Amino acid sequence: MSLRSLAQAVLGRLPRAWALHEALGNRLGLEAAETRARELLLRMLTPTQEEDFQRHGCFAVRVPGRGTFWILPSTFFNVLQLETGHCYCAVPRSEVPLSDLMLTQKLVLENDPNAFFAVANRRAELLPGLVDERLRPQRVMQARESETPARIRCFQVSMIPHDADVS
Amino acid sequence: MKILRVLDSGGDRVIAFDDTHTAAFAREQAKALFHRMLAGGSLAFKVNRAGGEPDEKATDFSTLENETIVVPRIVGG
Repeated sequence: MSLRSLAQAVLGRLPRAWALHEALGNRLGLEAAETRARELLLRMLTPTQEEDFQRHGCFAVRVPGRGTFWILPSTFFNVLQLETGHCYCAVPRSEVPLSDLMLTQKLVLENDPNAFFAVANRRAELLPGLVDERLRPQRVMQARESETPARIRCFQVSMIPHDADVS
Repeated sequence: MKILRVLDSGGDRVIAFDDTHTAAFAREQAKALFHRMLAGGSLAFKVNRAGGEPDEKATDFSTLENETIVVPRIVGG
């Protein structure tokens, strides 16, 4: 192999190597941020909340006048109102690690709930009468984990021929 | 020493300051950041308070205690 072809081969692979390097760096950075955020969250939880978080990955907050809400480890519709089975979605506008998202929701719900409910969207996640109250947070998480990715079926594809195909 | 902890994509950013004369520059920087964040819709909460007092929303920089967490503006998802 000539020096010229060797140089071309190396240079040809540089962009891919650089992309891999960047992806790895981003991943390590995200993991470090999540580790840091988790440490902060654990420090801010009450002993009961910490026990629940360590065992189930979620914890409950009591909101004066509104009841008990579980904060689930998810980035959307992750605040479950235990009594009604409704899930609320209000998240930080800027990107933060998941543990910081959960900490934000905890602090706002416990200390300024009106700010949370003023912007939160709501949807019914489960029927309260059908699921035991203690099992509701786990049931919501299980249901989400078992959701299958959307697939396109044959009947969803249009059978009308494109203009260009019609002679 | 007081701590202002601003949540961001890297986890959190810590700004330390106190009320002494020598730390006036750091305090002014922290104060400016605090007001800029709140003006942008962020919320601040006093945490780890003395005597085990419950966390509390903060809107006035002069009332900040040992540790304050500034969370980003929340929006409906």
